[in-house]
Amino acid sequence: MQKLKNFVKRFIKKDGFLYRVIKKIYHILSSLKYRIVNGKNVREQNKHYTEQVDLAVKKLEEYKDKDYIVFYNPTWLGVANSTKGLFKNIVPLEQVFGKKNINKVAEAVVNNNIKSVIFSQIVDGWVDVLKKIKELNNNIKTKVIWHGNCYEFFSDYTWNLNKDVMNLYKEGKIDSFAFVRSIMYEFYKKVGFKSFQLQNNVHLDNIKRVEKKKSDKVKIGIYNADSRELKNIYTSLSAIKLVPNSIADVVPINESAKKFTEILGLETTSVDDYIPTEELLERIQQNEVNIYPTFTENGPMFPLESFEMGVPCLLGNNNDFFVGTKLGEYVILTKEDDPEYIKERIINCIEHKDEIMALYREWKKEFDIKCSKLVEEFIQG
Amino acid sequence: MEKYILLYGDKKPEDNICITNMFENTRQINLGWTDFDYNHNVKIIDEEIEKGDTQVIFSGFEIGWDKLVDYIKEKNIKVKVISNTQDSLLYYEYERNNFFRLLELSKEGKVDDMAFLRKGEYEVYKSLGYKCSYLMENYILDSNKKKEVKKENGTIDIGIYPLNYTWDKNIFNQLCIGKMLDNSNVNYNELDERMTDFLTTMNIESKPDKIENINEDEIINKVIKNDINVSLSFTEYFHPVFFISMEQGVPCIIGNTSDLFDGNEILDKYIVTKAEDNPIINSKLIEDCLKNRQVVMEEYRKWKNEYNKVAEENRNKFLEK
Repeated sequence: MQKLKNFVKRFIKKDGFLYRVIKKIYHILSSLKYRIVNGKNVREQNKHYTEQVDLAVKKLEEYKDKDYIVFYNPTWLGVANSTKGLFKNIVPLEQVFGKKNINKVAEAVVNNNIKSVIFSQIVDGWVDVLKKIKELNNNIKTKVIWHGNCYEFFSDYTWNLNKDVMNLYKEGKIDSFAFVRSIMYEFYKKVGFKSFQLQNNVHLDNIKRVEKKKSDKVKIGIYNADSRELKNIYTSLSAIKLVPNSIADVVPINESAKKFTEILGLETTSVDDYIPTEELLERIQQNEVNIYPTFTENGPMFPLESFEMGVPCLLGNNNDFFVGTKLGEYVILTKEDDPEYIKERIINCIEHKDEIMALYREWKKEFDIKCSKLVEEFIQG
Repeated sequence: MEKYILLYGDKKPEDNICITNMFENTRQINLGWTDFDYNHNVKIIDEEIEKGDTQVIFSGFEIGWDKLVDYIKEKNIKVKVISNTQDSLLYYEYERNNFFRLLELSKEGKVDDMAFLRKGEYEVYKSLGYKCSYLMENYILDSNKKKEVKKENGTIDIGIYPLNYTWDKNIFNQLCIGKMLDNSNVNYNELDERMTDFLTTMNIESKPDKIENINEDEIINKVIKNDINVSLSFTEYFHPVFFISMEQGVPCIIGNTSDLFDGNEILDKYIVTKAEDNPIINSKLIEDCLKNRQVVMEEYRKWKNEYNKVAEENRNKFLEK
């Protein structure tokens, strides 16, 4: 099948009309095959998604007559945490399949007299919900928070989705966009879209604070870094190895990264799988410092979560956090692919840990105010 | 100086631009594990050994080359490898497997020296006890290849010539610069139609300009058309587009992905971005670089004269090791 796909691809223009028609037909046939082979699972999945829709409809009733509500997918952890950190009137909603479910959600928005609907990223089926809301009541404002940056357009899925939402804007079905990084806000504003800026934020008062155990080792954490090339896990491990007397806590760690720690002779206290956020946040409190030297981001939540847990976190120069501050001078990395440089910055960070944490606490007070103001502007805009 | 032959493959032609410029005695070999590849490569190695070469240097460590190392070592000839990967690229199985195999061979004493093109990488493997060196990348322009460059005409022509359509080339964030810099036009290497689709959708002034064969002459012909070139990968060890552009007299900004300008305030300020994925910072860097074009190019020439000497010394040291 792969050979046939490659053969056909040689003769047709990528993203052209014929390409899209064939892609659509292929998609329909694949879906049909999947349904036949996995009939029982599909029925169970559909039941699950329908239940999610029903729960969302109930939740919408709680927000009757509100100025806004925000839909977010609770299974997309980054986006979900970002949404929870910014907005009050939030409605978890997974994929919406089938006309009946689409209508249920849209009608619930209209019937509960909600003035504006914000979609925190776009999930399968949400474009149809958005269109239906506009069809039922064109006065309801629809807004989209785009959590990615232009790097992501490398992916067919993200690029096509971006084009879809841009077209919906041009058709008047989306009223405005918000971006969680200033460069994206400036870029789309310049492209000609009504844009707003948001900043991801965290509030973690509910997480248990645990006492740090005494240790002779310098424990350094790397988290959620095994999933993509951009997360730069191998450089991070090398950098930790260069720190004298270090031990790495890596969660999750995959087989290849584990093999690399063996080559490095790096001691680790790692876990092979993802662990619940609450558990992870308690775990990281045992570290001296965490590192997150990724290559590109928008508003990465982990560095903020780490600081909130009392542990400084070094992060790449690829987001808006701490830019132009003394704190930024300590914790922003500008040479993410250089283990020796990262090592120096880790050591410097540990030496100034108390000062860094004090600077963070001051920064966070102002940041909370700024975030609330940006959210308000977006809701009202 | 000890005689040598440097062998390189065709998997990363962009690396070969610098490596064949740095070393005089070079030959291309195949990569692969078939008998055909092995026999072809052995024939080349035998020819070179017959000439009396006392060491064989591999540029990179590709699939199937471990067998060649065994073959050469049986003849008691020194083997060195210039690593063409780095930790940031080990996410890929191909890179990882070859690099881990190289480390094994080094541990077994079959590779006499591993050279790294970035200081940080060198420090890691030196600390682990591997026999390794830091090799300074370089490129020197043959004066016959010097061409006339674009004259100012009111539009800022920005050249963006990634040589691979891969994540580390940071392609779309680079293209965004065209939107953020007023009165500009992007000339770019169209590696995928998505690039053109993106530029059109975002209404960015641009002109596709395909590099058909990745070689020095073709890149020279592209970079001279612009006021400035941009090469902002997330991670690098060779910088062929940067060197070719600067040697032709066209400024080129690069990512913070080299050790080239450590200690040179002017070039570090006007040439090196500290945020590869930020088109606002990078469009400002371009403006500043162009405003100070004369200062930048004069400083580059001064720096390069000195660098050529130091890099040559460094290369000779590696050859004599």
